[in-house]
Amino acid sequence: MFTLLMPFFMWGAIVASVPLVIHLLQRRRTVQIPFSTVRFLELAQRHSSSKLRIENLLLLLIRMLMILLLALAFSLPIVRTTGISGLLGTAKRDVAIVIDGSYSMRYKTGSEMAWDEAIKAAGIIVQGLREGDRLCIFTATDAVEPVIEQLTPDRDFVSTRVSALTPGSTSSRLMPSVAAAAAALKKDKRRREREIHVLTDGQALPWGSEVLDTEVLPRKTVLFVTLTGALAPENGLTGDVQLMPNLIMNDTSSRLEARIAANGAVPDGVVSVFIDEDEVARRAFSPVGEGGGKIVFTLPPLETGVHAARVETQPDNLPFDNAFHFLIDVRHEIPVLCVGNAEDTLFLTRALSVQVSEKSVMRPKRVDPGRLAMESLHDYRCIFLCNALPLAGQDVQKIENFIHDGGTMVLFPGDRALVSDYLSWKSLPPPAQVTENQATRRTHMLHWQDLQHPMFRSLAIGKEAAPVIMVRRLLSWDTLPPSAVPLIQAGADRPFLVDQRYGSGHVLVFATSADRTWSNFPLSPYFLPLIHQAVQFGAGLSGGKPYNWTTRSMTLRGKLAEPGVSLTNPEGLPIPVRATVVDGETTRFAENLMLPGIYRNMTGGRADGTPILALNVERRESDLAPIQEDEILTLLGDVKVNIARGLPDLERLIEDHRIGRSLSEACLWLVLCLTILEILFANFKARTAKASKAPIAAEASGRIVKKPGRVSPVKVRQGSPKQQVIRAAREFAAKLTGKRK
Amino acid sequence: MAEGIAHYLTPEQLHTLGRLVLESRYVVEGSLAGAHRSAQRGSSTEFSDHRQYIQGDDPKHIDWKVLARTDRHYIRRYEDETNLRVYLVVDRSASMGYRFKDKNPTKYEYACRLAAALGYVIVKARDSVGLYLHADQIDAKMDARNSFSHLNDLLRRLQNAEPAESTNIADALHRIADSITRRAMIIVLSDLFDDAEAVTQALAHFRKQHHDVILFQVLDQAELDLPFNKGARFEDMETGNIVSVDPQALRESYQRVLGEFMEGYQDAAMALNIDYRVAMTDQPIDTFVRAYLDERRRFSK
Repeated sequence: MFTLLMPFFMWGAIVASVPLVIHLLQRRRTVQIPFSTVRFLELAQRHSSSKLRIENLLLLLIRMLMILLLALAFSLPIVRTTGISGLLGTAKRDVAIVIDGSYSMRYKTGSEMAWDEAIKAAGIIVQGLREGDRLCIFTATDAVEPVIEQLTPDRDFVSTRVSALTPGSTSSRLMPSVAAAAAALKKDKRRREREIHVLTDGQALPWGSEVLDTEVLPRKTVLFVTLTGALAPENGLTGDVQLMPNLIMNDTSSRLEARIAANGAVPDGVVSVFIDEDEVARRAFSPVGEGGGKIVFTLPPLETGVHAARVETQPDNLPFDNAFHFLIDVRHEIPVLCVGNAEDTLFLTRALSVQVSEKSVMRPKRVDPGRLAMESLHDYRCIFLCNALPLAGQDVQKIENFIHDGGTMVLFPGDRALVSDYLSWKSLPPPAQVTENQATRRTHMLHWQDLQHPMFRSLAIGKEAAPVIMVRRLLSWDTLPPSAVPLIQAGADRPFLVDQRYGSGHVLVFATSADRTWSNFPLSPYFLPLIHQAVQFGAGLSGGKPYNWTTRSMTLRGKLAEPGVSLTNPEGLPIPVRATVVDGETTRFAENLMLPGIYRNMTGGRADGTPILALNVERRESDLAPIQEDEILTLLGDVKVNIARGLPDLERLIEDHRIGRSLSEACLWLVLCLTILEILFANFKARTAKASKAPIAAEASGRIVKKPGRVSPVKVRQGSPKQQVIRAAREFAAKLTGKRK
Repeated sequence: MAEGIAHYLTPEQLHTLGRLVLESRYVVEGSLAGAHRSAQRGSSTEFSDHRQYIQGDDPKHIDWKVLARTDRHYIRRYEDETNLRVYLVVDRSASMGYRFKDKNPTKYEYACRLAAALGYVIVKARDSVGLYLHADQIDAKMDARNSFSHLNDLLRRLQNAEPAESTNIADALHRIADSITRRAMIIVLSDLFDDAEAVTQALAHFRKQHHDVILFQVLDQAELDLPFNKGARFEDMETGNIVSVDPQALRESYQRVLGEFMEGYQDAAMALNIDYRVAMTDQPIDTFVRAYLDERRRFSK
């Protein structure tokens, strides 16, 4: 539909008649010139009048068209792109806004975040609406977060809600939010114009690879995608950390490996390590390409206890992911639980009580199998079962939970248990039988199967040693499950020590008992080092990763799950913890752990300052690789999509869509083209007319000569006859020379 | 105000023109002895041919050497030399009154100056000059004489005349051709803006009577260039017809038409062995006459 925003300018079109009036006036006001004869003029007019008339008419039309177009351009002609409802003036509009709430929206360009620009864009969209138009707003994070779920015509309310929004701390997925926005628009079946605005940075990640199902969209819905922020963002971040070794003893130095990632052309910078808010290490870092790299720091010896630490890259445009928080648990002793009666655990407790080195201090505690239920397993790093099977089902479950959460259990078989007692354990490789060796075949040489296993890395005895033990009875397996790895073989083919992963922890199963009834292994010189290796291996495992990711809900385990523990977030605000009881077992959950940083213990309503949880935002969102416009179009399928880069672009697109496309600029360009055409045409006519001189010239003697080629003015040759002859001769000679050339 | 030759020519121009000669390309019939070949056999020293003696011939013309060799009587004949009679035919039609710039003479004035210059050259060579002044009919006629007083009278006659309102060149030329019986030189001074075919026939009439004809077409430079820029209504000076045209747009076509018209005269003149020249009114008269006469002398040799 074509409309004029300022129609009074069309009065200017009257000026278009000026060339016509001038033309008519000129015809009337022509001067009368006496001329010798007009017969040649009449003849000439007869020959060329039609061509002349066409040329003049064309010139007149061009000039009139120029003025008409100029008047039209000033009248602001608009071509409406909406339907007939616009003509009737009843076009009401439902608009859904989807704002990307991921933390990449915190990316700063200058002093303004991409989020701020998105909020301004939302303001522009809201301000552009008219009375009767309605709005709903959704925020896209890792889930769909409705801000205003129902369409509302209250623009002030919408503006208030929009201005109160803050960017999130997760990644985002846009498609579910777009689908939710479409569903909100679809609720009203009336004929209305519908728009869905997606306000996001140019990051490819939130778009994913899922193509929008266009069936979810109401009919004739127009999508607007506004890309805010930088076109080519740069970001440096710490992606991951790893402490080495896992078990850090007090007054022992350790190493920290930090993986640094980079997007875009990140300049060289500095990476620092802070422990308890003190900077303990600093390294220059030069990202190689866009992948980043790894930096290894040497940490100083620390006191016993849990320390809050972080790795921090230098400030950049996205400071949200610069710090990576983690905990360092430094110990001075390793608590070990031995389950079994005193006789069965005699050799074991003696071996554990021996202090092999200053750094390896173990604190064994023995408990009878019947009293296992009284023990809190999370106080221990390693549990030994010595002829302790069979156990009550509740105890089995308790131990397996301990293993699953990263604990280590070392099992010594005994005479109390039958083979069937092992089968009730999910964490154990099921043995086939207990083999009795004949007296002549009791000597077995132990073979180290996997010397690279972490358990053997710091083994004190020589690895080439060939220990020989006397074995009377042996737990044996026909075939080991794939998850079980034999670490030591007795003889050629009998597993003596088997390692099996279970959850985050390990189970180490010896084939013989911890006393002398099955073998003389407890008396061999290898018993004590192997026991100590197993404890240290187990203690190192139980720590798991020194950090967690931010999450909406976290199941508390280990120390966190203890009833007395409550949490405060990095801002010092308490985190609500809820408990649920399933099958008689209490499970505790903490919710809305979305703020990255160090969470501390709170005792009696006060934070005692002990860090117990380090949370970081998932670094997936830090990949700021931009998306191309054609990729967006592909993902949004067969829908009319307008993509705006920045606010002015959005304003123009909205204006084009809601008001119409202005033809003024096109008119002005046309005027310019016509002006150039008119100048060229009129100039060409004038030049042709001026250049057209008499085709016949007279010499000084009156002889007429016909001019070759383009006509030129009649010139009478001057000079004496002799000079003329000489000149003519020269010209003749020049012609001859020219012809020869 | 000066009259006669002094009105048209300055002393410097007279000095330049005094050394020029207008020669006829054909034999002419004069009344006095002169520098031009006569149709009559005469007593000049220029040998012509032999003729057999017949009774009544003067015996003094018998070629005795031929008689001695051949024993036959032959008479030596000599060419006669007579003076030239030139008639200036000046057109005073209305179109001859045109001039574009005030500083330039009208075409009629230029034709008069040309007549004065040629007349001076003719009389200076002791040849006779006469005049025919015409528009649509012969307005004035003066016989050919070889005195400067006659030339002055002739020019005074031209000076007193003005361009008429109508023209009929062809008719006037026919009448003039009828009135000149003896061979002479006819110099036509006109813009020739008439029916070209009729004018050509009139010129052929002159040639039939063995006159040596020189045709000067007097034109203003503006008539060739049409240097008008704005649209105008052109009024014909002879017929009074008015034409509204855009001269700029029409120029090329106009020049083509005029060029064809002039080429028509040129072709006709060549066919009739007539000397056809165009005299532009902005050209100095002495320069033009000297250039023309020199070229004519050069080509007649």
